[in-house]
Amino acid sequence: MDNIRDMKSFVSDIVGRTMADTFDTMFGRDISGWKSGDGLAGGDNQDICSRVTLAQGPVQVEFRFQFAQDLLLAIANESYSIDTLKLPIDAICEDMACAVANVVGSRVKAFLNGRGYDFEMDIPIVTGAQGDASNEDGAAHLNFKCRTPGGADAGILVNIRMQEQAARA
Amino acid sequence: MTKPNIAEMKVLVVDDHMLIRCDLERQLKGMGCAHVEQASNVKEATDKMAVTPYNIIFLDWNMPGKSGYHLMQQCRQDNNYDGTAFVIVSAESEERYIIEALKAGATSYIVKPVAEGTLQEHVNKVIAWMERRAEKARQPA
Repeated sequence: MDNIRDMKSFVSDIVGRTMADTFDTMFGRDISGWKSGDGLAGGDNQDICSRVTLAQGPVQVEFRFQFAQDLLLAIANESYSIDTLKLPIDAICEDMACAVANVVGSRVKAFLNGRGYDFEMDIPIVTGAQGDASNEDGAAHLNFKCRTPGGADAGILVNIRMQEQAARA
Repeated sequence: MTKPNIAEMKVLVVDDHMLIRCDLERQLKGMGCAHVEQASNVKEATDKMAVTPYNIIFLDWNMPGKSGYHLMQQCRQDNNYDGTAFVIVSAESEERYIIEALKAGATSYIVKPVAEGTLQEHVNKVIAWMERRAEKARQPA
């Protein structure tokens, strides 16, 4: 079993690969050129954010995803006929953000548990715009670029926080 | 002997994520399946199951409220669902979950995200299971 601090690089790597695979399989989009970057900065009001947490005792690994709403809408429009869904645009985007968080979180959980851990995962939730987490200890950040059907690049940010709460005396 | 045909089957897709439900429905319709319905939770699913005898039920494991796994366990205690194929569609990829689901009566298990070829493979598996059941039923006791 690895120390939580040692987990940072391989958790980042598995998140990057899983995000790329998920976008390819679910949406037919190539986002494989991700890079480590700055933390989730402020966020646009139009951004859609989701969060999922893995926990094992005092160890918590939290993933926060931030998607450009335009990107999710464009993908939804292309894959499904949004009008026929008869749902508010926000609901559609939030559902997509949580579905991605669910797949990525589960895949990381399986990977970690395969290395001797016993993490449990909660159900992904929608959150408000993220605060800046760039200076947090134990945090890693991944930036993805995804081409919209209109040809523009839209961003996806993933913030990974790993924390180990000190045991009570 | 009539071979089970996906085009004639009644299919229910149960998942709390609209994205997953719509994606599975789109793929199933692409395979020629004309009758696909959706439910976003177990309550909605059981209401629909009370009215329609589905041939295949695609079930998410983890959903808010009652889990799809729990619904499948319940149905496997009920002879009315002996001929219904239950396919768990879950993001859980750990072997222990897959084994547990198959032991509890799942006909097949698909790990999300579901690629087109993958769904077709599992539908073929379900059809083979239905054929084996029909063959068994024809054999003298």
